[in-house]
Amino acid sequence: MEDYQIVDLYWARDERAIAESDVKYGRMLRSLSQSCLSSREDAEECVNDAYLDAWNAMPTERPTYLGAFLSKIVRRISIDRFRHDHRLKRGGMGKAVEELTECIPDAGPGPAEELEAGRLRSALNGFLARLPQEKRVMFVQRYFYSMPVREIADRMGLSESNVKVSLHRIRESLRQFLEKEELL
Amino acid sequence: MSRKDTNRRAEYLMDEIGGIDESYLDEAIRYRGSTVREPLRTTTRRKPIRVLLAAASLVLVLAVGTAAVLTMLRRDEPDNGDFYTADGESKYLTELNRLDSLLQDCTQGDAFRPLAAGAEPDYFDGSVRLTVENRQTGERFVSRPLTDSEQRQVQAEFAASGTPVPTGTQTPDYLVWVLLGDGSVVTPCLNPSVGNVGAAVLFDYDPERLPSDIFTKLLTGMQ
Repeated sequence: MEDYQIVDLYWARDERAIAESDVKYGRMLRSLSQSCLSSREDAEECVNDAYLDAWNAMPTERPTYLGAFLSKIVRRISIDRFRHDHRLKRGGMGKAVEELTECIPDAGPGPAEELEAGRLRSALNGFLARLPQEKRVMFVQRYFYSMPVREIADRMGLSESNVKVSLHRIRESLRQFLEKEELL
Repeated sequence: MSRKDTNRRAEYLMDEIGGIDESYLDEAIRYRGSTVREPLRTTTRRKPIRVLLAAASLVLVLAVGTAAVLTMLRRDEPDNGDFYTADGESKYLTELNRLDSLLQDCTQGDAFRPLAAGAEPDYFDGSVRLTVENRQTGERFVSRPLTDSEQRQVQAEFAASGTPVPTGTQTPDYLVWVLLGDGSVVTPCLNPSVGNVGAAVLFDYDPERLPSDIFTKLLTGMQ
């Protein structure tokens, strides 16, 4: 079923919307959640919570990319759960966060100052727009979907070393970019 | 900035990545690797003095590039089966242990000096050097500048085939890179290709190949 047809089901308050969402994106969403949480049961709960959030959000919202829309919800719920349970330690999403510390410039205004302006989010989109497609996909797969490096390498047909080196360079570019934009 | 503060900001960055444009998220879901790739862009800094230094190591860079092409051409040829022989794994492990041992000995010799914790080597000093990192402790060591003869050995190493590394096997305790003096960083443990040349960073890697006898002789001479 196409995304717009599933969205129509949500708008029609038809419960098949959730079943169809699960058929089309369930596996990916569980994988996303599990990569953040390292627990199958918690991931299952987060995905179910995400369907409920999506059910409550539509109508009002009409997402163009349903998979991406659901992914955002699952990721947010999973990160909240992760923080509640673990508070930033190694394993699961902690490893990806640890890598991102390399992107943090030495000095700059705090998150609170940036939050209101939403500058960081907009700057991230600008940064991603300038990356070559392959690098952008690699970044999103690693830091949005929390995919293991091995999986990214398999999907892209590259060696793990190549992916690691590329991610290292992207992080370095992002650090320079954030520094230049005086963000973070 | 404290580690705690850095982590807090990284966590915040992770949150904000959650808000990136949905078209990029959709692109990442649907993307499948292409056989035709854009070359990686390097980010070497440009300053006049560095242009001169880059020229000084141009010959070596060209040699690495040529070796990369030759190696890629060689990889297109049919596999001769050596990689898959019954004792291939043990050959790899033997060579891996020998390389680790050599690198450890080198770091204790006069040709290498330790870097302070968190310090980076000078990537742009115009001289070709080796850098070794103990993966477990994070200690880094940088060698004296290589002599002309040693630089020729490095060139020969990149033209040699080395030992292919089976996937999913033991990783080395020591990482080794060659700093070309113009910001470029390469390692004899990765197949020489454009994507495996770093720009002013010591990058982590899992070996794709182990150096040949040419490189081990070089290390032996630097102990």
